[in-house]
Amino acid sequence: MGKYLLVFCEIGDRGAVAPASLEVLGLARELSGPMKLEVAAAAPREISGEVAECGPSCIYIAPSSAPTGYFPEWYASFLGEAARLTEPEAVLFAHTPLGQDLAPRLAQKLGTGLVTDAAGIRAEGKKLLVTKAVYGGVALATYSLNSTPQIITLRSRLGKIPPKEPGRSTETVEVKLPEGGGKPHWELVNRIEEKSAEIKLEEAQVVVSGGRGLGGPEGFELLRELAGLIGAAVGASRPPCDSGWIPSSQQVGITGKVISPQVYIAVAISGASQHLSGMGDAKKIVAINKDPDANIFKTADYGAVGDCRQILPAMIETLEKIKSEL
Amino acid sequence: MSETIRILVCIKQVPDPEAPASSFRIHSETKTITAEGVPPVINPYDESALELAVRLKEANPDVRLSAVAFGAKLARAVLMKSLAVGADELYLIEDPSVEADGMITAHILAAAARKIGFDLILAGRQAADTNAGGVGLALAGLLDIPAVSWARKIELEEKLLRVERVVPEGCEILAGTLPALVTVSHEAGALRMPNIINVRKAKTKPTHSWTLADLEIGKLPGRSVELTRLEAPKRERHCQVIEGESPAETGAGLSRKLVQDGVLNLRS
Ligand SMILES: Cc1cc2nc3c(=O)[nH]c(=O)nc-3n(C[C@H](O)[C@H](O)[C@H](O)COP(=O)(O)OP(=O)(O)OC[C@H]3O[C@@H](n4cnc5c(N)ncnc54)[C@H](O)[C@@H]3O)c2cc1C
Repeated sequence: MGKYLLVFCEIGDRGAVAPASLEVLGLARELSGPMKLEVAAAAPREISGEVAECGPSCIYIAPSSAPTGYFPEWYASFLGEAARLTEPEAVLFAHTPLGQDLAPRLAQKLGTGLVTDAAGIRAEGKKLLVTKAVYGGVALATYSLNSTPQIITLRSRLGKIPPKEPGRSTETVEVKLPEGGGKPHWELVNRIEEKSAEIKLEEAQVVVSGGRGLGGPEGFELLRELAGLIGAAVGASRPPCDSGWIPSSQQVGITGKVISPQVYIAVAISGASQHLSGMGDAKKIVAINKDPDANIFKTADYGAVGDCRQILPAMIETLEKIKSEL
Repeated sequence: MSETIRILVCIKQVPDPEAPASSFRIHSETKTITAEGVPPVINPYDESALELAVRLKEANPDVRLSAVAFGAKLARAVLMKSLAVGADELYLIEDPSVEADGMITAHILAAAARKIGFDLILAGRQAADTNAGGVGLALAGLLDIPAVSWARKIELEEKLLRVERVVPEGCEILAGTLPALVTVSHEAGALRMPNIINVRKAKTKPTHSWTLADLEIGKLPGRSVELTRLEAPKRERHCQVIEGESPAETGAGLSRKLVQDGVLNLRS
């Protein structure tokens, strides 16, 4: 019988622990009580101090700093070793690009099963029941895993970031990589930044998204004007990203960002299930669409039917007026 | 004389994910989903993988391109599209007796890949039905070959591979050697349309039908992923529709309402 829930913590954009990993750590703490388990963390050396302050019982650290470039074999080898040492009931990852790359590799290495992209999770004894969107968001499936460790990647915001306890002493174990685990296969030739000037979707409280019905990049200019006025990030459904009207980093949906802002304004978006499963948890949803039967209205709290090319300028004008009178 | 480079593309048959949500019926009692009038298609991510493979074949005459599909029941006519866009042969592995999960599928594909032979394997980053994304990378692990995920472009020069891999804020260009497996992301683009002549030609290309008995699989792992519940997401909300004499009035009304209800806060 395993004693641990093992959480993989990755390095985020700013060199610190990725917030998504901290959320998983917080979630693991919540689950560990009823499961009668302890939380173990596995982390690259450079973030181990910070991870230790977030409450795991013990932390397994890599023998060296995380390699630069694309080196999943190194991570998989490190995690395989950490799993061998901890014999966990489950290994939890954030559903980040790295998590999605590593979880299947680890599952295969350990000969166990995996469920990715969990939108909900609860424990039943030592088993985890994992709910996720399937068929492009048309259905919600709940899975359990019959083999251990149960390997799961989790969407953001399922757990709360645990409070830091500076100076907390945590048992630290240094993991040795097995033979061959340190050789990269892929040489990083170049990294091309396609940075967008947009506000980060994941961090925004208000998001204004445009769909195919915006008609072109100029449509997004209007959206940006509205967004600027209300402090919103600009997102999109998939077609505008595919057509290059806006960078793909702004795509919302099952293959884009999964977000749950306070307010989501969907402009000229029909409301396909693949899109809805990326933003359906927003607190308030506002839909603007010329088709009164558009699916998006079924999920919206506020709706306006009409041509967005006329509705948006009027919205902007009114908001400017209200703002000037404040 | 240059050697043949064998490219294998894994294609999964799924119900058309672009079909309207209303055509999917969820049966919670039996934990099944039926898709009325929804035709099966090749998983769109696998189609992107196929597109990259066809481009490699165009750029490199020494490529021999095979498509391989595994499923309980396969629609030959749908999967023949792979031949019509440029694959040289198609392998259909059908076995209604296995209820496969991702890991079982990976084991079956690994056995097939060993039997067919390969230098490069391509697969979509995930399937549009289960949305799991485990098979490609697990397959690479089973074959003990290096894998890179989420490619949008692939180039091949002799046995050297150059992959453009999608990352959140751009892309990474990676170089490596064959054999290897690459999972392909939708940024690679959609699969070309087959032209009529090639659709006809497809019928003359070899299609191999296998069952598990044709593969040297040994013992398959047990099924580890168990479906315990299937339900429709609850997304219905009550929508307050803002009325107006004209679209402009509607827009103005919407702004006023959102500020009034505290949905939008203009003070911050
Ligand atoms: C495997 C897979 C993954 C996918 N992943 C995603 C994903 O992550 N995110 C995503 O968004 N999609 C995704 N899709 C695509 C998805 O199925 C839909 O095709 C897409 O969301 C539709 O985008 P849309 O609503 O902008 O376009 P459409 O469905 O074409 O809708 C356009 C809407 O604009 C309205 N409109 C047009 N002109 C105007 C106007 N002048 N004023 C007001 N309204 C107007 C129309 O009434 C219509 O409702 C995925 C699809 C597949 C198969």
